[in-house]
Amino acid sequence: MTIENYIQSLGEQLKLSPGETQKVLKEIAAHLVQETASLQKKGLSREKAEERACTEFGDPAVIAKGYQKMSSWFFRTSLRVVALTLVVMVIVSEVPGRLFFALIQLFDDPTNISFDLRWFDVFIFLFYALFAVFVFLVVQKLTFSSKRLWQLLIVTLITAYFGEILYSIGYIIIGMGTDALESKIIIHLFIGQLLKIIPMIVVYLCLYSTVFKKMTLPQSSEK
Amino acid sequence: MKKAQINNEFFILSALSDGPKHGYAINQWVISTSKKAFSISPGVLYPLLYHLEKEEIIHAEWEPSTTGPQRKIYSLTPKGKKYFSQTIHEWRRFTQTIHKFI
Repeated sequence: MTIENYIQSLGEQLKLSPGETQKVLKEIAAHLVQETASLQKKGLSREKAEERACTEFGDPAVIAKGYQKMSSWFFRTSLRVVALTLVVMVIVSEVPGRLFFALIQLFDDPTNISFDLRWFDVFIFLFYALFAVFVFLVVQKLTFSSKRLWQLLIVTLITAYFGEILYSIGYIIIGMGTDALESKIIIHLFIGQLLKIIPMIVVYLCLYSTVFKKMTLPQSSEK
Repeated sequence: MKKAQINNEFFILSALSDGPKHGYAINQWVISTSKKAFSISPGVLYPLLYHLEKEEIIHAEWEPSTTGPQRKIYSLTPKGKKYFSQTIHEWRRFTQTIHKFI
């Protein structure tokens, strides 16, 4: 195979933008030319040297896949942004939301609610607030490129959702014995919270396959 | 001797910490520094360089050439230097731990 044929074959299989493809091919062609010259100095004919340089570089289909895998960087970054947005949404919405409910319940007339939840919301708020502080402190100690940071953020998100489920369970337990309509509403609330887990699992699995599972590149081995 | 799983990324960063190089020279540096014990397959090297450039760990510039084809010269970015020092730290910890078993 000549360098020209090799480059053409690789170009056909690369799934990058036209500009990126040109740059990649230009660089690889330069490498093959240099390697050919080096092999010619060792006594090989031009044809043999080109063929060997191309063979040693690897199967164009495999090389193209390698670039494709790398180009998922945009996809990974997008997922990171989505995950971070979700986490921020949870922390930002849950903490003030819980504070609001806690204050409402605390200062509300206890006779206005069918069962006494005044302190329950206060505890839930404190749980979220303390957890948010904990996350903040841990994040300060991590670099943003750290894989652990993303794991931590996802754990935060999942914990927040599980917190919601626990919250619902708490309502069900405390609300037992109340009228049937209220119990039904509470159970619906609980199911709603459970359903929140589904998109969370999807996001987590996507992140696991892209961010957490770092690119598995072929490793060099001892000669 | 058993096959050793060596991080190609570390080799590249180490080569570039020695000064800017093009892809071919990076592999030559790895071969000569390791006294021919290690090399990076070009089919692995170039996609990895592509990735590192996208991650802004390395920076690339095309070197003008009058004799042959233009070559892409790579160098470490400030982010790359920081990342490399972290990697060195991790490798030191790893080798120190392994020494305990020897």
